[in-house]
Amino acid sequence: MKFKESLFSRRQFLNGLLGGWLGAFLASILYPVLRAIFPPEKEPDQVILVSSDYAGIPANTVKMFAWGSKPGLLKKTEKDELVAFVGVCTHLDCNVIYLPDQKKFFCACHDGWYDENGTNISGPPPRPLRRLSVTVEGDNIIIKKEGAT
Amino acid sequence: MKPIGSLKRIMAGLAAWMEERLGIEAARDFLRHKTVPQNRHTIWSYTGSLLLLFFSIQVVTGIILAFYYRPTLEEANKSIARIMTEVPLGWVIRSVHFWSATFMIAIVFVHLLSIWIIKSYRKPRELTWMSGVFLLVFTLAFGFTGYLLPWDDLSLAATKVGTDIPRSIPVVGAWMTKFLRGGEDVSGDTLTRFFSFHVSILPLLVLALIAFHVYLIQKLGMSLPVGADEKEEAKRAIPFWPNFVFREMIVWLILFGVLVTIAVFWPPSLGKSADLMAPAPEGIKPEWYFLFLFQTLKIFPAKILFISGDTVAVSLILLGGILFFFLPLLDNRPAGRKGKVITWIAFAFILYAVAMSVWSLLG
Amino acid sequence: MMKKSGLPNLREPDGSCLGSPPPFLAVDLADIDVRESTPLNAPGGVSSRGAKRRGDLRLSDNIKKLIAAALVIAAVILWAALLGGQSAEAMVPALGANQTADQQEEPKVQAEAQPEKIVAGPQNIKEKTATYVFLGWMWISIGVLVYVLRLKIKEVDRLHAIKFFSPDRK
Repeated sequence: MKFKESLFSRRQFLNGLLGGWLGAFLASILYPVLRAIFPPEKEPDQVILVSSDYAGIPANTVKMFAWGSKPGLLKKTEKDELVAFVGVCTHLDCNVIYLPDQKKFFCACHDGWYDENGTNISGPPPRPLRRLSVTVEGDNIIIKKEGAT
Repeated sequence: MKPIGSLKRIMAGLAAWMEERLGIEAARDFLRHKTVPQNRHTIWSYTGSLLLLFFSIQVVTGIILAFYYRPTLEEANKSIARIMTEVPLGWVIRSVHFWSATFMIAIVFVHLLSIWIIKSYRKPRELTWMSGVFLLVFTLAFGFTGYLLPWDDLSLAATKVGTDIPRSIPVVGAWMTKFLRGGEDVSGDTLTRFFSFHVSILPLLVLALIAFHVYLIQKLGMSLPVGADEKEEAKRAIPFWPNFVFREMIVWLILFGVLVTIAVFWPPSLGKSADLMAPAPEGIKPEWYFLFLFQTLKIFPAKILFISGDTVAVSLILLGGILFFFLPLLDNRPAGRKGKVITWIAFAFILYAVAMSVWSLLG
Repeated sequence: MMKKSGLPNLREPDGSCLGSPPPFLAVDLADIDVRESTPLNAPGGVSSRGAKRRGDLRLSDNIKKLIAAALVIAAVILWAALLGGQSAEAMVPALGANQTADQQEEPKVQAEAQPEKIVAGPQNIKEKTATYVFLGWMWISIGVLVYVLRLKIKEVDRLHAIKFFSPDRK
């Protein structure tokens, strides 16, 4: 198909090219700036704990470890199994505490409650506590993101 | 069609609402009528806007660096190492900051010497020159304070020497050294003090001075060459927007490209964390823009008659600075006069600075 | 290097004004005369082609000056880079010597085993590639933008020369 006259003038074309390319150029400069401002999340792939440090904990208690810069909670259930949670309230990021006598996790910020399996049961928390997978290999307890192998 | 029409109406209404309160139209009207003379001196007027470009780059990269930098004895060096190795593209950001500073100082010298030689500082532009001299001093102060922040051997030694020099100034010297160091010696307090200078005090001062400087340039217009015919010049002048800005953009783009390319291929490295108790590294030299002053201090003997050589040298340098600051008042002849002596002094100064720098590097 | 390209250019203005004008000032003025007279001679745009060509001439002259200025600045920057680089180079062996001296005297202080010098650079091959791709894109962009800007400068200068916006001006 042929047009009798061009749809836009040379002037418009030049202005569009200048503005468009300049915009794209500036955006491409902005990208490395944003990369530096927002570094990637540095959540650990796994945390290795020494079994002996955690061997003595009684059932229905919790011992802490560092999951990156968050508190990790290693809990021995009443069946002597080890489970691990990220000890951060799913409501507004406060750190939670385990209350053995009530068998509940408690977040003091907004009165949030989770049961012993980390399920949210009362208060504002929208989701259960995040669980981590626990495996025991020889002398080490290896804690990974849930789903990771 | 309809929603676009109403959107346009809303935007027009918003623009009118803003205009009624802000009165930006006056500024836009000024910009529409602003012209830039076109003559053999015009090329030098590109240096001013280039300085603004590099200053803006310094602000942006500097803010990002400050997000990760920690101004303490224990962590300063480590945090820079972290910026260089952990923060995504942190090494580029630091390198651009480093090279942009170098570019900026180089262009400051070009800007200033060109104005000196074409004598744009003459009436009525005396205050523009004087604010410019302050901007020069603050720019050098940016370089000096920024140099300490990585806290490696080089920066510590350079700061020790640099902050000790004012001590030779009669009467106020010792007090100035104490002020700069935050105590008798260079210590962790010096580091936090320099950080505070570098990221808050100097930027505030420089921003205020740039505003003043640029305001004066807008108010007084660009200077014309000595002996130029004003009517001819007015006829030849081109509009600032867009004719001149498009030309400026060419220079900006090319120098931005050069800056980023150099920054990628020659990123600055980082020495090991400074040890306050370690002996100074041998052959210590300051940054390139202080070399000629450094060498000047070096050539003076320890004692001249009964006064210490340093005092004489520092006093002479200070006197030179003061004369330099008052240049528009010393050379207050009508704009039509040529001022050959002033021009030759400028060239003599360039020659001196270059020769001294080379000597300092070879010696 | 700075002096070679910078000084002759600078010395000119001073000697020029009262004595005989330097050659390139004369070119400039003659050029301007022609440009200014064009709209008067040809109000109907009869010789607009000629005006255009002269406009180009003036522009290329300007670009030449621009390049000269960029060269001067580049020379100064190069000079600065050289000085900066050299003074940094001079440090490195001294630094190393100092380090070993330290280790002999006080091995305990150095026990932390900090690397002597951290060299900056891309952290992995992906970043390295990305950096080079960015540099390529940047220079292509600069090339295109400078080309378009030159066309735009021609256009706006022509508009200015024929006083296209004259009702707006007083």
